[in-house]
Amino acid sequence: MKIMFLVAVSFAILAVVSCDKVKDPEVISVTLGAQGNATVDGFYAVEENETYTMATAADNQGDIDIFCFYEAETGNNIALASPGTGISGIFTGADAPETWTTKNTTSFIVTTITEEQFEAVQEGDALIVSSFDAVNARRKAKDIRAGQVWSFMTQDGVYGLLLVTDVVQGADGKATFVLKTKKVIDAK
Amino acid sequence: MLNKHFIIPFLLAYLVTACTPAEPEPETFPFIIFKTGSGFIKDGSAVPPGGTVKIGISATGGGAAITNLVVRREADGVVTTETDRGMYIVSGGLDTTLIYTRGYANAERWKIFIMNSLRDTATATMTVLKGAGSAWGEISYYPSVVLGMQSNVTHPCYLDLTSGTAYTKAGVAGHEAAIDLSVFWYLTSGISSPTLTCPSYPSALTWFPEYSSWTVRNQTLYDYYSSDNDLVSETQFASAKNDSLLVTAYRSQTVSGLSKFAYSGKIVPFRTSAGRYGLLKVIRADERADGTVEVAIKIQK
Repeated sequence: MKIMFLVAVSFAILAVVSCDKVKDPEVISVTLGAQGNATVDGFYAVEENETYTMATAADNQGDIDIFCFYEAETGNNIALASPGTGISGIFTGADAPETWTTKNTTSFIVTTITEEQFEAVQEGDALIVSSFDAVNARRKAKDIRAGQVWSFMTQDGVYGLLLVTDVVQGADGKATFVLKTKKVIDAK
Repeated sequence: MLNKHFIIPFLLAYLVTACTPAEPEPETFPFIIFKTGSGFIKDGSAVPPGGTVKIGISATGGGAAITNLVVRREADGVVTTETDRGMYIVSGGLDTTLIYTRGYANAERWKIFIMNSLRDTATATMTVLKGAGSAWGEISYYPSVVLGMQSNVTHPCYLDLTSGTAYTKAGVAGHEAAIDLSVFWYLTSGISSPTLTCPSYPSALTWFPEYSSWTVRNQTLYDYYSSDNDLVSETQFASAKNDSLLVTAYRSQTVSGLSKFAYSGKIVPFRTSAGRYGLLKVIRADERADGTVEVAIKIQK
């Protein structure tokens, strides 16, 4: 009986050990609506992975890192920005981000990373951080297009790669993207 | 008995089903990006001969461990392997900085290659043009350093090449991470050989077993071919006033952490693990285990 027990335990350990493999990254897909989109939330907190309406975002200002907006005249089209970008005249009302007291800033830079390469990036890869070009980064991801991979860094030191998968132009339009992130402590 | 006949087939079935990958191997592949900022060089940059080529790379294994990094420099049609490093990076990818010195060729093409545990590969290349003027750097010169062989109990036996400081066995504590070189004597195929080695070289443990307990064991690479064939003369060594000769004499394709036959007059190009190029001239070498070696060193500041 003792031998039987040892055999059983050995098999169990072998099964666990031999199945060890590289952890697949968590895939986060987010859709954000532009300022006139009444059905899709337009504000996003990266670390919390939560979307908000403008009203609920105003109640959680410290969490908001990214929002979506549309502006054809300046060529922004569907774009991503953050409360600290200084966008004005797009959102209206008392909850508009320009009225907020806490305005986090996220910086963006488009990369040469392809969609196929984006798929290869693994959870926690240092490449998520090193793909961010701090010198050339901007406070807007302007005129984003499906297939582009943008690198970003939030004010709280979360770096991310963002693959744009769908864009619908217009003030009631929206943007859908997939995220892979890595938090770096003391990145501020 | 019923239990026995039930449990073993059950466990076997569990083992097979649990470990038969329900998912196929990842369909993603490794790739490399060049880092920007912090002085990293960009494709098409111009660097004068002697200038620093600082390459930052970040790579993902594409779902499998990264197992190999190779860096090759192509200059004037000659391909030189500058780095060929085994590794096993399961998570987090590879993120590293590579520092080399620009040579004299009009253009240098740098090719970075990685392989993962599934033998998928990725490469990235950049061209570094030749900048105007030269940027050869200053050197330190240590005209006489005496080191004891493995059985010598009166002389220091560990050398920090950068500072030219030699440490005894009793005094090395706290300085292990700075040690680049030690010397031993043995008979190899019946031939007497004063020999240069370094803390990370496996056979060095035969003569300096204490290396096994060091947390940092530096790898110094010696260009044994240039030494064996006397490619650097004593006159050249004496006249080297900057690091030009130190860099260009080093042939990265013929290097090892061990350099045999360090007889009097031999000059050995080397590169430390910190990336400093240098030349070591053997002034005098005893051919016994308790003897000493006197060397002169020129090394990049």
